[in-house]
Amino acid sequence: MLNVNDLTVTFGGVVAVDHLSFDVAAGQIFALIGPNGAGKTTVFNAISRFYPASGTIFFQGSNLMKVPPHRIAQQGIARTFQNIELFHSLTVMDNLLLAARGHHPAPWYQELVRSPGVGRAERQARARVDETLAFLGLEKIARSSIGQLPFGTLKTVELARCLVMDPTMIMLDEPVAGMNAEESLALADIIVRIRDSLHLTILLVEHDMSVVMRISDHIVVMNFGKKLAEGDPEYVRNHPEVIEAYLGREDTEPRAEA
Amino acid sequence: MGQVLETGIAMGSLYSLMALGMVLIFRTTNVVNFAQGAMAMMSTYIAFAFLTSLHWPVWAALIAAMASSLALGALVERVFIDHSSRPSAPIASLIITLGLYSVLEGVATIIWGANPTAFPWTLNGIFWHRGHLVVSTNDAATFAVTLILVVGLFALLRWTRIGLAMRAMAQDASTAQLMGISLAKISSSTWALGSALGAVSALFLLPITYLQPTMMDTALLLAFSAAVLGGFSNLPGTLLGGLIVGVLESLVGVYVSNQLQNTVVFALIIVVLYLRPQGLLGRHDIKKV
Repeated sequence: MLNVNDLTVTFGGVVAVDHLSFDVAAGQIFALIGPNGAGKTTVFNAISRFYPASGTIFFQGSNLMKVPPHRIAQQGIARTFQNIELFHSLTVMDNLLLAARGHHPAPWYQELVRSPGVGRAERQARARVDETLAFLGLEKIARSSIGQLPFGTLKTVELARCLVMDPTMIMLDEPVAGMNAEESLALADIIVRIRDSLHLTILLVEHDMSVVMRISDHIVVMNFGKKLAEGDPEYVRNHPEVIEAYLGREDTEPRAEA
Repeated sequence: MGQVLETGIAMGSLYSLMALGMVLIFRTTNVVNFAQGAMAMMSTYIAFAFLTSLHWPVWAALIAAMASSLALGALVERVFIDHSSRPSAPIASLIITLGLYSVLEGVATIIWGANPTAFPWTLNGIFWHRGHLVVSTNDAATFAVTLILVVGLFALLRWTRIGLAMRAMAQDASTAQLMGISLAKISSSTWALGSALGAVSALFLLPITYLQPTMMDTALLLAFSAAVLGGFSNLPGTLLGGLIVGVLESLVGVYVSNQLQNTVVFALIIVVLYLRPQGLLGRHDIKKV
């Protein structure tokens, strides 16, 4: 599904991601973990094509290095952000509409004279959004603006926004950050449910080890931009170097930081 | 007094339309379009050319002028502005629109000469009068068209996908792009729309300014002031700003002096901005940095 090979991202003299390679299989919940500054979010941003990078990224056989940022969504990749990138003055509904494919504007001469296809596409996009709001139980807040909602709810809205993009893979950057244990587990269940019922592939960056160990099929551990270890949760949890570099010597039990 | 207000509101409506075009363009693409007036002037000359050289009927010439203004806006955006692929300094695009302003005026002077010409067709006559208050047909049409365009613009921004995309791009262009929205398409739509609003304004100003390359210079300055008065990124504020500028101009012209019209208007704007730097309806957090 996603094949990252020899990915390197440098900012000035700093090597943020250093010859990283990994392969994500279709339908997997795949986690990237590592200490702060290990380069996890940079990997996401490279896949989103925000920065120039060397190496190759293939998604479903097509070379993402040749795809401009606004076409990444069309390729079937949707994502969320560490600090939530919703439009603050818009409603939940408008935020989702913006992401729905049928709602993307055509050239000006079609939009400003409102050619017949425009209205039809708008209605279809609305139906798609309504369906997603119902799937995640967000109908009640559809007309609230983003600025009025609590952080935990916004994480779910961002996830909903991913889903209306009809992706084949979603990338979640710290989906449970800022949530309490109960909320975290609820969201973890939603993630699994999305994978199972919508058959999506999920790439995840997360610090909450209880969530990562609970839902991931495969984990890549990064440190200083390099891959430290990779394997299933059981393997990673017992890997000596991982324990040393990341989990901390005395903190072998996974229930660490937030 | 009633007549002075009526004239002021009619002029103010036209400044508002110009200003709304500028603000729309600024909000979405971060460019202050100083060529707004010159682009509108070109559209009126195009209508003139269709009427006089090609002998088109009036309605067809006006449609041609509107279509050309939409296309001119999109063309200017495509050739000079397009930030979606290569970001440039805000100051560079400012210089570009200022340059474009003088180039377009120069081109118009070369083709059509610098002398004011009467437009071959105007809305004559009186639409309505009672006592001393007279509403000319041109003013009545100005009110009607302004109302339709303002309501239409707000509806477009509120309920259509292109409007939603414009609002999103104004707020956070890079996230909008990530949603799969092509900034280039929004940007050219915005310029087309902004340019057309200017052209409507210019067509209604013709009976006052006559057809000449510099016909929109004062209107541009006043529309710019109206936009600043309104907070420059706030559309209702801009509408209000335009009306205030128009009424002020009219009041000063009648009760103070014709020569001092602009001086007094600008002096008052300076006072307002001194007291409320964010504009009448503007908020402090205009742009995210």
